[in-house]
Amino acid sequence: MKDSRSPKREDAGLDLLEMLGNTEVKFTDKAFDTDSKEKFNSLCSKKKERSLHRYALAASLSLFVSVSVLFVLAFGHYGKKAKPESGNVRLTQEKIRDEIFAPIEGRVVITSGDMWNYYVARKAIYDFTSVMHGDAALPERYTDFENSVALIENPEKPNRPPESGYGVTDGEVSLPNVSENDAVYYDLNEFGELRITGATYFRVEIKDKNGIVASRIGVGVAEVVITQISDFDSMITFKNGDKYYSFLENGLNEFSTHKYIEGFFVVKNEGADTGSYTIEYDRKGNVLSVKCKISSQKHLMTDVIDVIEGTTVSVSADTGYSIDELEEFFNSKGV
Amino acid sequence: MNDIQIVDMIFMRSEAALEEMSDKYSSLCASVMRKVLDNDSDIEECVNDVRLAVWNSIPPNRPENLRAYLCTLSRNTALNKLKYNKRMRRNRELTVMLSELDDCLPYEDEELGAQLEKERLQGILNSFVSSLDEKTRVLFIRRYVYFESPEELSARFDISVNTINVKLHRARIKLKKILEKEGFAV
Repeated sequence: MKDSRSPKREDAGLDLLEMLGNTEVKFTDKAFDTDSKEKFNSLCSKKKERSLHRYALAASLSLFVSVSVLFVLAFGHYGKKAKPESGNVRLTQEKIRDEIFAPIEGRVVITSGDMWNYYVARKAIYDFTSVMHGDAALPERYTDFENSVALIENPEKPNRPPESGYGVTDGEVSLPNVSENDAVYYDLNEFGELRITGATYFRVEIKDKNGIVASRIGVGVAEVVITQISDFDSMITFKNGDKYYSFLENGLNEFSTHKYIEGFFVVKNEGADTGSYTIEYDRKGNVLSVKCKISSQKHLMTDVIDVIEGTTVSVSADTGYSIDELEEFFNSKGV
Repeated sequence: MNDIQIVDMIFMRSEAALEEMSDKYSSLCASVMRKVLDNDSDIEECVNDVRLAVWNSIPPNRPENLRAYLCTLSRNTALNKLKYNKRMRRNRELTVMLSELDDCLPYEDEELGAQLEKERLQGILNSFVSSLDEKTRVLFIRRYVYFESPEELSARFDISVNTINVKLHRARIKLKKILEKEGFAV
């Protein structure tokens, strides 16, 4: 908790408090009367009503979708036998879909662009599975620039964060910890919607403990989402437990770690070691591989990431979700 | 008498109605002020000031929600008392709130109202509050108008303190960006 800097600054704070007290009566009265959990939860937004409508639509088509998806993935990958990982239960697309649609344990609080991207992808898959394009080689890409998310280039560096790093402690949310070498900052407008035109979900096993991805989220089985945010700025997010790592597209199906997500910022760091990750798909849109090439000042390395077969789920969806909408959706009972 | 009747009677200049209002709501007013002031005698003085403010403001005002109206008068009276009495030790809860709002304030050591005419700033603040989604608006107003702590909000609405702090932080950052856009240097 910061202390006010001077008596005059404290008076300015009191001025602000006083003026907030003169907020329009219709708002203060409504807030005053909303004095219970039931009344608070009854404050439904239009967006939630839209989500409920889509849920009803998706539920009514779920049987047809299940058959379609199983058919696509059973015949979508050719030439390679499925190999269950030693010690693990063999995963099926149906199981993956059930897990995506299952309630999430614990409370969802979205505090970064990584999490936002991950939950946007899950929500889009949840809402739009009934309109999946099974014959497309890749999720469709729209060139509707009006619906692209506004990535605002901000040439000014953000305020330097406290030393405690990123997280929420004692009422403070700290800012991203970025180095002096970071060149350009983009501000994801966390008060708006993150709009996408497609989403892909799959799972990988991260094996190389020395790799860039492992250095951020550890080794083991991880979830991955790729969202088409605009024609030029697709984002890939790796998730392992409560750790996330996201970076952006640098070319067709190639993602580079030099343009990554920190907090709600897109950060470009040209000076650090960078990894180029190329995603390979089959004709049915299933992810086949994540091939990595890491370039550093000293030598080339590789990052070993294996795609787990049968775990790809994709949708084409021109949609967007705000943080509040996603939190409300994923924290609702029975969803 | 119910609240509507009290307001109607005060409107018709009934001192008995004013007494009825004081009996009913003095403790509520004091509890709001206690979040700002530490001194009991100052609280008692401010409660009397609120009573006088009600008498002087009704008419022309005719509040639809008397309790909310009294809470707003109470917090403003207490803040005025605090502002002009530098010798007072500030309530810890108020110190916490001022530090939270610190991010929204201009950098230079000038009074907020001097940088921008108060009327325009009030309009900006009203627009900001209006732009919040309903739930965030309720949390923001209950925190910074009615001085409920995050812990009290958590208990009231059965939401984690962490979630409330995150939502309030986002709202403060949004207010900061609006004030910057309107010409404040931060």
